[in-house]
Amino acid sequence: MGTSSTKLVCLAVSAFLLASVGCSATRTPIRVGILHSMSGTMAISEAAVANAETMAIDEINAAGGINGRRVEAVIVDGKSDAATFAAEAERLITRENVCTVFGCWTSASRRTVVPVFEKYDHLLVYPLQYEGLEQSPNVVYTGAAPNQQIIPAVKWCSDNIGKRFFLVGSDYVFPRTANAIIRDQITAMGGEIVGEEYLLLGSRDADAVVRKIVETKPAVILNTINGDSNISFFRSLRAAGITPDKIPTMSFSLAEDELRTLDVANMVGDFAAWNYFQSIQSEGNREFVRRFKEKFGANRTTDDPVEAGYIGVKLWAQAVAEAGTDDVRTIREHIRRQSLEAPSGIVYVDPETQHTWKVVRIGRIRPDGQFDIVWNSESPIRPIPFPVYRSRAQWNELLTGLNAGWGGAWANPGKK
Amino acid sequence: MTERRSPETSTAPFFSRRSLAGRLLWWFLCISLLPLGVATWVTYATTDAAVRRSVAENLRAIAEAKADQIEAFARESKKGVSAISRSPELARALEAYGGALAGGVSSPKYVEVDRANRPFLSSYTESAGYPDLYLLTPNGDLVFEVKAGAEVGTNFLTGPNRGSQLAKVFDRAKTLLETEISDFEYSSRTGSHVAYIAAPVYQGGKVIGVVAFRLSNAAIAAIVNNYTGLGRTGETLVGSRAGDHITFVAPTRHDPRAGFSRKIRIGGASGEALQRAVRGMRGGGAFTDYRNVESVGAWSYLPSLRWGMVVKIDADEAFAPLASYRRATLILGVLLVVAVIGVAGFLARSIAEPLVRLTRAAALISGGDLKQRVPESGQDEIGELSRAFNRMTADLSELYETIEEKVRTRTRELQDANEQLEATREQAEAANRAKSTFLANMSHELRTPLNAVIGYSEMLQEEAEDTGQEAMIPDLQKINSAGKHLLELINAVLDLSKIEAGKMDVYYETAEVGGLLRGVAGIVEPLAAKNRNRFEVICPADIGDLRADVTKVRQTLLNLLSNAFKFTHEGTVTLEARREPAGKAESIVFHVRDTGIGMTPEQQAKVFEEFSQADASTTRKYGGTGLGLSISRKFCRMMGGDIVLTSEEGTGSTFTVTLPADGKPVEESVELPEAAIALKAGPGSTVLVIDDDESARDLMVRHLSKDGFSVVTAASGDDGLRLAREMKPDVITLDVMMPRTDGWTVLAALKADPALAAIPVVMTTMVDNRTLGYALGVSEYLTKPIDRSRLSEVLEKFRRDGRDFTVLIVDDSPSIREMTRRTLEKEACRVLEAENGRRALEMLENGLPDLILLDLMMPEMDGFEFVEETRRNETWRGIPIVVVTAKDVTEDDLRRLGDAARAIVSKGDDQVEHLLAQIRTLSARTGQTAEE
Repeated sequence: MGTSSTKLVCLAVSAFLLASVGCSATRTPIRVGILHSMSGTMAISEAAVANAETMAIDEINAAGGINGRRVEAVIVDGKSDAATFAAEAERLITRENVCTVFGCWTSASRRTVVPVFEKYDHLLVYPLQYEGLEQSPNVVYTGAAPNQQIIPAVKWCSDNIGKRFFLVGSDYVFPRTANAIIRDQITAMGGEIVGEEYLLLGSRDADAVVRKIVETKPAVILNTINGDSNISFFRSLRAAGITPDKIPTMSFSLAEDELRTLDVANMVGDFAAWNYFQSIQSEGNREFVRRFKEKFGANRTTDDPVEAGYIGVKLWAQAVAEAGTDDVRTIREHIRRQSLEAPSGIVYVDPETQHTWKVVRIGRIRPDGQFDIVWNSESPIRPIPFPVYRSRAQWNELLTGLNAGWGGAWANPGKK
Repeated sequence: MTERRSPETSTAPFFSRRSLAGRLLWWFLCISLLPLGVATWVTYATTDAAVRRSVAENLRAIAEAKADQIEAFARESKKGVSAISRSPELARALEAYGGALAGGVSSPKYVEVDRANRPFLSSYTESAGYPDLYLLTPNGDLVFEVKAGAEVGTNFLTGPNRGSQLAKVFDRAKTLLETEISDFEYSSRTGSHVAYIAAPVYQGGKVIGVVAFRLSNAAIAAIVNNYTGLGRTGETLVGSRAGDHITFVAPTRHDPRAGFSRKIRIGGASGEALQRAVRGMRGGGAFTDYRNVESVGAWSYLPSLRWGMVVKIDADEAFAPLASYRRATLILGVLLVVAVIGVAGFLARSIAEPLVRLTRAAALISGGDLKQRVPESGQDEIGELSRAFNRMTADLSELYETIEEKVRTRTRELQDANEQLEATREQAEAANRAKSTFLANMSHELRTPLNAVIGYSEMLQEEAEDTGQEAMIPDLQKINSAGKHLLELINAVLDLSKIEAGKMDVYYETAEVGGLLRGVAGIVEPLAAKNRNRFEVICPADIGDLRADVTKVRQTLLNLLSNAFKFTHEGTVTLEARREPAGKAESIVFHVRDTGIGMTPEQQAKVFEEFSQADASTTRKYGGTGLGLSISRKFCRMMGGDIVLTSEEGTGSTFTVTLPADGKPVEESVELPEAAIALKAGPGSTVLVIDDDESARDLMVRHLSKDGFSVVTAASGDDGLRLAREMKPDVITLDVMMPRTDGWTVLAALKADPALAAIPVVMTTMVDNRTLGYALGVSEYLTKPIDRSRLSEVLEKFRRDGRDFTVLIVDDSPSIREMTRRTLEKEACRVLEAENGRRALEMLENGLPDLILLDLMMPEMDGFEFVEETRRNETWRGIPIVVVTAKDVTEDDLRRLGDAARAIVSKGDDQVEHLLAQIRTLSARTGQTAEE
C-alpha cells in the first residue's frame, strides 16, 4: 500500500461501483409491439407502416434511447386477419410485456383489437385514416378522422369539380361509415349522390360497378375501395373509357404506395386526400423521405400511413421521456398534448379525443406516381371523431347495425 | 563501533513526501477527505438534479395548466358558438336577414327583421359573454351585427374586408363545416386586438350561413399574465406565426407593450423556445429568451389558436437556491478541509514525532553517543517502543564499556602472546641459524680430523707397502676403513640433516650418461675385487644426456653399487642405463642388479628407512651406515624421480632408479623465500650495485636504468649487505676490489646468508682481459679431503708439458697441507706451502708457482683477500688458483659460489654491454630457478 497506482485503482473501483449502482436500476430496455399484416392481402401496404415505425424506433435508439433506455420492438404478423390481430395483441400484452403496441390498418382489425386493449387497460397507437366514430381511452389515433380527410375533400370536390357524386367502396365498416358521413355532408352542401356501390374486400371484379358509373355519369367518383380491388376497379374504369379528365376520382385509400401497383400513366389527373404526401416541400419532409429511402430502398415511397406510423412512435417517445417510466398508464397520460413538427406539419394529440390534430391536403396524381398538392389547410385541423351531422347515439346505431348485419364482423363476409 | 558518522537526521520538512508524518497525513486526508468530497459532490449533484427537475416540473405544470386554460377557453368559446349556431331561431333570423338585405340595410323590410330579431340576438351575445355577433350568408354578405356599423351589408369575400380575419374564419367555417376560431387582429374600431369564432348554420341539413362572435384577447391575456408560481421573473409568452417571424399575441411581464407588436424572427438566435413552440414542438429546458437572458422554461403548441406558448423563468431566479447551496457547501467544505487537515496533521505529527525522535536518537547512538535517551511518554505501542529503546541503549552502553575493557585486556594478552611468539620465532630462527652454523662447522670440524685419519692411514699404508712392513698394513687398512666409514656416516648424517633442514638444494646440470656411468664405474671397480664379484656396465651408445643434479645421481649410483658389491659374493653386479619414454617425458632408468643375498619382503619394507639396514646383524657383518638408501631415495625424489626395489631372498636384488631425462626441480625440493619467487626476470627487476667508485656506480645506474632495471646503489660492502638484506634485489653487482670489505668477503657473506644466497652476484672489476678476468675468480673447486683423482684432473688442466709443475698450497691446516703435499709429490709436482695468504704472498715474491691450491678460510688473510692481492699484481695475475675449501657443507654450495662468481667481467666501457648481458642472464636464471 502506498503506491499512487494502488490508490488510483481503489478510487476508480469505488467510483465505478457507485456509478454502476446508481445507473443499474434504469438500464432495462423499453419493449413495444409492432402489430401489422406482414403477410396476406394487406401486407403489400401494411408492411410499409411497420417499416416506418421500425425506422422511428431505430432513430430513437441511435440518439441514445429514451432517458438512456433502449427501445426494443417485437414485430408480429397479423396475417391480414382480424382474429389473428386480436390474438397477437393479447400475446404482446400478456406474454411479451410490451408497454405500447403500434399497429393495425383495417378498421376490422382495429375494432377487433380495441376490446383487447381496453380489457388490459393498455395502449394502441393506430396510424391509419379511418371512419372515426370511435374514441377509446386506450387508443391514440394518429391517422385522419373523417373531418380531417373526407369532409374537406368532398367540400373541395363540390367547390372545384361538381356536385354529382358516385360513391364506390369496399364492403366493410370504413367505406360504409365514410359514405354515411359523405351522404350527410353532400346533403348539407346541396349536392347529389348518383350512386353508391360496394365491392367485397379482395374482389377482382369491378365491371358491374363500372357499368353503373358509366350509366349515371357523375361529376366525380368518391373512392373508398381498399386493397388490390383498386387495381381491378381502375382497370375496368379505364377500360370503360372513364379517364380523369372526364370523370376524376377522389380516392381516400389510395396513396403513393398503392399507385406503385397501379398503372400510373392511367391514373394521372385523379385525386387523393391525405394529411401527408411525399411531395410536401419542407426541409423536414425532404429529410424524412431521404432517410426512409436510404433505409428501405430508393424505389420505396413514403405516404400518409407511413408518416402517421412514424409520428405515432415519435409522439409516444416524447410521452415516455416526459413520463420518466414505461408504465402504460403513465404513458397514456403523457401522450395527450404531445406535439411535434412532423413531415406533414404540426401534429398535436388532442387530450379530449386522443386523436391527432393534422394538416389536410388534397393532391393530384402526377405521372411519376407522386402528387401535386392542390389544396392545403395550412394549420392543423382539430380531429372530430363523431361528425356533427348525427349524434353519437345515432352513429353507434349505424355501427351496430353494420356489425350485426355482417354476423359480428366488421367487413362483409361475402355470400356463401 | 569506532567510526564516527554524523547522525542521519532528515533535513527535509516534517511533512515531506517520504516521511512517516507525511504519509500518515496523506492517508488521513485520503481517507477522510476523499469520501467527504465524494459524498459532498454526490449530494450536490443530486440536489442540483433535484432542483433542476423540480424547476422543470413546476414550469411544465404551469405550462400545462395555462395551455389547458387557454385551450379550454377556446374550446368553450367554440362550443358556445356551436351551440348558438344550432339554434333554429338563429337560423331563421339569418335567413330573414339574408332575404331582407336585398333592399339595403335601411330598407323597411330589413328594419322590420332587425326589430324582430335584434333583441334576442343581443341577449344571446351578452349572455354568451361576447362583445359582438355577426351573421353572414354563404356568399359572404354580412347581414347582421349586434354592434352594427358600416360593414353591415358589405361582402366579406369580395368587399373591402375580404382579407380580414372575420372573412378568413367565415370561409373556413363554411368550407370545413366546423366552428373555427380566427387569428387575432387589431381592430381600429375597438382599439384593441380581437379574434372571431365562426360556426356554420344549418337548416334542413343545408348550410344557410355562418354566425360569428367577436372575441377580445382580455380573457386570454388574463390567463397568460397570471404569474402564479412564476416568482419574480417568470412569465408566459404566447406568439403566433406570421410568415418568417413570430408576433407576440399578448403582453409579457417584462415587456407590457409586446402584445401584437413585438416580433422575433424564425431562425434567429433569440427566443428559441417560442420559435420551437410555434413550430409545434413541445419540450422544456434552458435557452436564451427574447431578452437574451438565460432562462429556463417549458414550451407547448396551442392548436386551437395556432399559438406557441412558453412558460419561463430567469435561470438565475430558478436556480438561486442552487447557487446559495453551492456557496454554503463550498464554504463548509473549505472549513471542513482546513479542519481535517489540521486534525490530520496533528494526528500524524503525534504519531510520527515520537518515531522521529527515536530515529534521531538511534542515529546519534550509532554516531557514538551512547548516553542518548528518548522521552518515555504514552501507554501505546510507541511509548513501549521508547522504553524498550532506552533499555536497549543502556544495555548497549554498558556492554561497550565492558567490551572496551575486555578488548584492552585481550589486546594485551595478544600482544604478550605475540611477543612470546616473536621471542619463540627468534629462538627458532636462532636455533635454525645455529643449526645451519652447526652443520657448516660440523662439516668442517668433523671432516678435518677424519681427513687426517683417512689421509694419513692411506699414506702409512703406502709407505708400509713401500718399506715392506706388510704386517702393519691390515691395521692401517682397518684404521683407513674405519675413518672412511666414519666419514661416510658423518656425510650421510649431515646430508640427511641438510635435507631435513630444507637446505639440500638440487643443482641441475646436463651430463652425458655414458660418461657419468664410466666415472662411477671407475670409482667402484676396486670394490668389485673385494668380494670377487664380476662387474658389468651396460649402456647404449645413443643414450644421450641426462639433466639432473649429477652429483646426487653419482652419489646415488655409488651408494647402490657399493651396497650391491657388499651384499654379493662371487656374483655379478650389473649397472645398466636405459632411456625410456615414460608418457610425455623421457626418463633415464638405471638398473643396479646384483646376484647377492637378496632380501625378504619384511627386509624390503624397511630398507629405505633411516638407520635401518636389512637387519641388525647387517652392520656387523657388512658395515654401512643405514642412511645411504634413505638419502638416495630422497635425492631421486627431489629430482622428480624415484628408486624402486625388487628383490628375492637368495637370488639377488635390483634397484631401479628412474629420473626424468630433462629434469626440473620438484617444488618441495627447493624452498626459496617468497620474495624471490615473485621476482620476474629481465627489465623491471631490481639490481643492487655495490661499488666504491662513484663514477662506476653512475655508469652502472645509467646503463641498467636504460635497460629497464631499477637500480639501488651501495658504496661499500657493508651498505651493500644491508641493502641486500632489506631489498632482496634480483641481481647484485659486486666490485671485487673495495677498501673496507672486499668483494670476496661480501660474496662470502652473501652466500652465508640463507636469505641472500640465491641472489646471483656479478663480480665486476677493472680488468682488461676477459679471459684473465675469468681466471681472477675461482677457476675450480676441490673439496677436502682432496680426492686424488680429482686433483689429478685439475692438475692436468693446468699442467704444462715438460717442466716441473710447481704447486703452492695455501691452507691453514698443517695436516691438510701435509696430505696434499704428499699427494702432489706423488703426482710429480713440486710443492710449496704457506699457512695463510700473507705467507703465500711472501712466497710469491720469491718465485711463481704454476698453480695455487687455495683454502679460502684462513686466518690473517683469507683466501678471498689472497686472490684479490694476487689479482692486483701484474705478475701474479696469471697464476691459476684452485680453491680448496671445506667451508661449505657440500660441493653444491661451492659450485654455486663458483657460479655466483663465475661471471667476472671487467668494468671498462666497452665491456659494459657484456656486463649487462651477464646480469640479465643471471637475473633470468634466478627467475627461472625461482619459478622452477
